[in-house]
Amino acid sequence: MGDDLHSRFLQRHLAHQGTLFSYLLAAVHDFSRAEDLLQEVTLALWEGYGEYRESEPYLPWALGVARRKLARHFRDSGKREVLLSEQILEAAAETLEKDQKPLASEQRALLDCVKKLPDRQRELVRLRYAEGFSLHEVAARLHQTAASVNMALVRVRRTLLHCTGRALAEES
Amino acid sequence: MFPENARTERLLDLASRFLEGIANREELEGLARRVREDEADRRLLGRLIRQHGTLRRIHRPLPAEVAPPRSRRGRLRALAYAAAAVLVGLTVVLAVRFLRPDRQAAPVAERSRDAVPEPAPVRRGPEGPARIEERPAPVERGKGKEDEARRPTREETPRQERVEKLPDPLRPRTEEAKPDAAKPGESPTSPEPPAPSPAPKERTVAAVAQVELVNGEVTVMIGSQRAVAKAGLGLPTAAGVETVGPSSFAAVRFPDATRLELGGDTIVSELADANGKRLRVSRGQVSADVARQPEGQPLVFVSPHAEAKVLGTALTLVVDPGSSRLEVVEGRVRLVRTADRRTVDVTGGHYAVAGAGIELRALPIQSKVDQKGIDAAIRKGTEFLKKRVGALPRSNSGRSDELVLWTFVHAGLPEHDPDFRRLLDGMVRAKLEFTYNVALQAMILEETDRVRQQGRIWQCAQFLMDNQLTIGLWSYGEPTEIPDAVPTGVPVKGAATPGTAKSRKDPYLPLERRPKPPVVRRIPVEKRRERESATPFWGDFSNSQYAALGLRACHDAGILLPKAVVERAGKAWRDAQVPQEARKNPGGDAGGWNYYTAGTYGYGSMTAGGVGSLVIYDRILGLDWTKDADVREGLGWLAEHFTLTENPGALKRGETPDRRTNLHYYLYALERAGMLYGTETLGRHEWYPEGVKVLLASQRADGSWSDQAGQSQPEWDTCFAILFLKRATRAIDVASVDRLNPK
Repeated sequence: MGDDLHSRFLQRHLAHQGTLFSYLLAAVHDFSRAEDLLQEVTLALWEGYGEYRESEPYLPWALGVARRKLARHFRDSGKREVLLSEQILEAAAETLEKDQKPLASEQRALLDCVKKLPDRQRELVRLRYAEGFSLHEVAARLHQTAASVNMALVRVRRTLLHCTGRALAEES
Repeated sequence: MFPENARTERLLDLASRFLEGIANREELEGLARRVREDEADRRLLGRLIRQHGTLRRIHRPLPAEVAPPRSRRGRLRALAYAAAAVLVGLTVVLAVRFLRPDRQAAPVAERSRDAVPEPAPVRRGPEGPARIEERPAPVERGKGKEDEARRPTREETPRQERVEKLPDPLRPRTEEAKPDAAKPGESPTSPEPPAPSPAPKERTVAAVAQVELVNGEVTVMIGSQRAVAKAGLGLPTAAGVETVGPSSFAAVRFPDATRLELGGDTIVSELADANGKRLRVSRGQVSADVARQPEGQPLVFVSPHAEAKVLGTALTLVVDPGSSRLEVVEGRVRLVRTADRRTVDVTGGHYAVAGAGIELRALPIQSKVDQKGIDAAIRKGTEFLKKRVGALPRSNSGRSDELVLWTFVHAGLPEHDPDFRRLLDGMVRAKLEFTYNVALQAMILEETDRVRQQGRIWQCAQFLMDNQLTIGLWSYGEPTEIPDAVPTGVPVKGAATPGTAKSRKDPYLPLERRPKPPVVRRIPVEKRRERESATPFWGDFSNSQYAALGLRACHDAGILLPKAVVERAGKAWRDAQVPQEARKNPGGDAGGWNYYTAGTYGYGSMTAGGVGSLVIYDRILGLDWTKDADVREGLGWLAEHFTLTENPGALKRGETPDRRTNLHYYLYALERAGMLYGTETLGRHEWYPEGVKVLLASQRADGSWSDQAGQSQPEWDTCFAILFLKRATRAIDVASVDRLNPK
């Protein structure tokens, strides 16, 4: 029974942990902290899995648990703009719950789109996401201001949203 | 599909700033309003958040994200494998086990079996993770069972190695790297397009180094996981070691006898041995005795500012937030500055510093400071002060006893010294009545006996709480009602019994060399009195900088300070800093502070005090002071106006009758700013060696220092000079920072 329960938990959880990670990352901004939080959330989900009704969708429940973890995290961190961030994240959670696009196809599309980026933008993506440098660290490496790196990242994100949107529409 | 207009652009910008954590309050408010009110905006934010996380994951997959299998059977196996990976990710128990020295060279498959009986941390009984961990099923990409059985778990494949196996998404796609053709959503375990190549048949994951010695709190890091370091632990590729607290220490040895020593608050990560050893030093101090390395395979130290390539030598690398300093004892090391790839060869007996605005060149180590001269000057200065005990100056702003005692503590005077005892006994019996004295008392007690004197430190904290003015500053202070009965507080989990360390039993050991005992109880303190900020209780940035030092000591001694008090104190400093617009004026003072006139001009002693105070408040609030723009602007002011022969900026404003007035007071503030922020340089200046030269040259025949002008007293100036020479300020101790009183 235990194995069954466990397998079912994993099946559901693994399908959604990418979304949970994105959500946590949006809240804490830092890759390592988001990964640590994801581990904590995963543990909490497994411990509370007995209370979860399997007939209900998994993601809203999991995001609820993640939100409670985050509330504690925010409290502990002494972050000032907590309330506003929480409001924004709440709105984000609402759309994340609804968005049921398979993560795998989204990832494939994103990977293809990254490859199509011009060299400079690809380098920016590499520094930010593969090397894990913060915005300020990237700015220091490229001898630019943080503001101009942010602007460049906005352009990259816009391009990628366009590109993946097209790819997924074609696929469907 | 994706409406493109100015409104959307603005949302993209706001959302990006939010994701990067750089949005200010107004921007957060704007974003919150838009996503609350508009469904399309909400959707776009959701897509951006997903994209942000996915971009990270396609470069650095999460633990359970493995290659999608081709068949149903394979998918089930992959699910089981992923299960194992997730659950291994939940615990560091296996990491610790893996790191055991007796396991370091065992084949992976064998280790996987051995790892099974380790108890899992979740409370779901034996059918939970422990059993799943037992069978990390292979992904059906390899050929045959042997390959499959050797697929490493997360613990066995540290991050760097895992990532190296993944095809670079920025490179042209190859057959091997092609995403699997399985249909989207077919399996929950198929999120990753690129598949790792099968593990080599006879592959083993051996430790590349071993922890040899540990003192204090030392952690081993593998990916995002951490385990307590113990002597004898093996360290796999990409593992890291962190020493926590200024007195912690660790030694690491490689098989070729290369040995590293990590000083306090040091992070070394990404140990690697392919094509030579490679070490990333993020902060702190590493000394290395490097065995001769194979031709063309140097040992490379990488810091945020430079790379040092070593073929066999003894060296020390000190990494501060703003610079990296390499000292070579013997041999030759090539230092490459990261920013512009300029190099310098540093030979034995020389050092070089890589950092913005610092000339990259090798200088002889001997010329930096004259240690014998420093020791002699401190001895003479201390003798002068000892003669003055009993006749120390006193003014309406307080007495000098605490400042002299604080100096004795750092000068290494033993506790049994009669002058030390006289001042200490007098201090703890005296009424708490002046801000300077109370703050210094808290600092002295925290440094010397923070566990047994925690009650008295709590009383000091109460005084500082009640004397904070409504604008967040402190003035000279006045007595407040302080209960004799100190709250018992709450025990700290896992704290060791104080006073058991051998060194604490040795009364002849200078106090500064003793490790501080761990805090065993936390006691909250509350602000019980509001004081208005009207004359004569105006508040100033001199009392306020000492109050900050006192609060730091209380915090480190386990007193839980109210968050509101700390925030208000920080805000008062920020509000009074000369704003950036002042740069437009010739000789503008942007980034500086003065004694009490907010936002108008700056001078050295107050600006250095401002930097130190904000670092302290940032740290207590859990914020990163190295990213604090106000702190950096303050440092910018100090760099721009750098001098060690006067208190810069003071004369210009006609505040002081003599250029040198408060020079020594300024020098001690400068030392605190450098030590607290963690930098050896201010602009192109190395504040410590340059300051040492000035002080050694200006000591008087009787051992004292003096400005000979203004309000300063030789006793005070001598204290400030000794505190500078001793680098008396403890760097911020990461381990001592944890919580605040929520009230």
